[in-house]
Amino acid sequence: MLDRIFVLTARVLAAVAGTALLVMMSLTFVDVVGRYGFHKSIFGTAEIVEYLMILTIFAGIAFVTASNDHITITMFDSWIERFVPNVRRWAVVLFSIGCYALITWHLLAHGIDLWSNGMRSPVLDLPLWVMPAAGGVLSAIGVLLMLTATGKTRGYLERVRPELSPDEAAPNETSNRDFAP
Amino acid sequence: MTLAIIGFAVLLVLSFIGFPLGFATLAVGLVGFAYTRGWDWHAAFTMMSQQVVETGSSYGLSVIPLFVLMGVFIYRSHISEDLYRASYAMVGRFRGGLAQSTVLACAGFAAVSGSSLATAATMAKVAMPHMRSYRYDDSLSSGVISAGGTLGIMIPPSVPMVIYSLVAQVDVGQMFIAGVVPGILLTLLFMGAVYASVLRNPGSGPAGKPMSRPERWQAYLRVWPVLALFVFVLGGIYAGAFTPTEASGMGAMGAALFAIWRGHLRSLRDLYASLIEACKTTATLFTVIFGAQVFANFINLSGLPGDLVNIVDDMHLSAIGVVVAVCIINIILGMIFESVGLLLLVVPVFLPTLIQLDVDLIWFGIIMILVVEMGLITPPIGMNVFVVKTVIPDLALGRIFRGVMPFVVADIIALALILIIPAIAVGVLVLR
Repeated sequence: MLDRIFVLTARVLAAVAGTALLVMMSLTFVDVVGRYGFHKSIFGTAEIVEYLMILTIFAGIAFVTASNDHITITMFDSWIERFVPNVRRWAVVLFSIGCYALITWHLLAHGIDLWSNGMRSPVLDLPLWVMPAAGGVLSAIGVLLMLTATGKTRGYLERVRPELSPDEAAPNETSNRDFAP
Repeated sequence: MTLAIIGFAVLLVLSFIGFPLGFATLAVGLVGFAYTRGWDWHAAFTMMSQQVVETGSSYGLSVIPLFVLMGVFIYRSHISEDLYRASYAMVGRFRGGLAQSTVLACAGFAAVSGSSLATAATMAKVAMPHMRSYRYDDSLSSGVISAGGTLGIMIPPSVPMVIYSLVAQVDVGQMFIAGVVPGILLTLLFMGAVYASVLRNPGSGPAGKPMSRPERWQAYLRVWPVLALFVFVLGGIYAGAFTPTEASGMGAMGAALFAIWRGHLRSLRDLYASLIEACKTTATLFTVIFGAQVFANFINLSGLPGDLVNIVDDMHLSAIGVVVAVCIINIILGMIFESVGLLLLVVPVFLPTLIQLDVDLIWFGIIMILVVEMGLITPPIGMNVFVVKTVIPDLALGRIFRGVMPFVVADIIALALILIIPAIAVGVLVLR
């Protein structure tokens, strides 16, 4: 049951991030084509893209953190693993959960701050609190996902990578590491 | 200054233990910021959440996910084999021609993918079997693929260029345009390195079988969309038709249509997988960017950049002397840190000094990209070398590192040329 919820949550996050990115790309394209082809661009594109960025990034971070797919320096990995494998693994996992939870908490607090101020965006007059709040909610789901992954794998977070990979059609073809600059 | 040095030391220790770079920089930056403000945690947390939201919702930074997506679509269009064939048609019949073809194909792939690791991984799969069938020296073959991959961040569009622009507050479009000539120069120097290697050891790179004229034209025709996409994106920025953000959206859409036209990306599942791949890469990059922004605030508050300005003033150092010193520091750090982390952590420290000395930040940016690029192939941590090793597991790491050495020399020559003749990078901007 927990496994199914875990995979389902991961898929929902993936759908949110992917859809936001697809809309971002389409919106930019339509905006430019509209401007040059029909002398008409989409009103407030930049602001819409800002909101979509939040969805893409924070839903993506939830994914990446749950499977510990972040950028790390691996120079001394084999050396440390030889001497204190468990200590290192748990230190990395707990440190990551701690940092992630801290960011989540303060994003939510920032959202509440902006909500009480009633601040709105300059062009589309959208509520600004939505940005940190959306980031906070997605991160909170990410923290829960990471805690579940930690419990499932006893800290070997990379073991959940296949479950979180949507690319069943072409497994092992690429990884996000390949697209790091 | 002492505080900042302690901060950097703690960050290095945490990173070496294996903590995610983004979280480690964020934690050190946060604690350092709170300490510098007399343990004012409220200020530190407010700064952190503001930085995270502002950076995460930056319209200007939307070029990162969109260019990453463009790279993913290009990768999925399976263009690499055709690029290699077209390059082979051009130079394959000469001695060392297959290695020269690899450099050209890498440059072509780099021009539309923007990723060093993807370029190296792709070309290792495509070019290595061909070079092995012609009995090329494994050292030369793997070296040229690892080094050719680095063209991914030198030839625009390039994510590290966007990140440098964020840090140095310079125009992304200008950075991209300034990167074109150095990218071509580096491609030529890499081809020169192949030529020199084959001259020294003629058996290491025999000539390939020549292609007939119709075959050659057929090969060229298959890759014109790649050239068209590159010219469309960069040309649009150069002509002022698009902002870099718009160019990234147009480029991603163009790459998607290209992948569909080539018979890939025809199912929703393919599209979904591409989007998720791009989102994951974006997320890893932004985690490091968030951490580095918080860390940079701590470094600024610690007074290190100001102290460096005073030191340079006291020592009466020239601008070029400082730039060379920064290059040396970055080359050393580049052996350990990956490209994005290096740009985000080191550049802000020296920025006030460079501004004080009236250094052209676009020129300096191109130099930084070149230095960071060298870090991808220099030991002990040469990410591109590791990627090639993963694709070709039977090759010893030492052999690949030996093979990249002529290309490291080519990198150093390019660096020296751009340092001596800044017009190589910024000349094209004057012509604009």
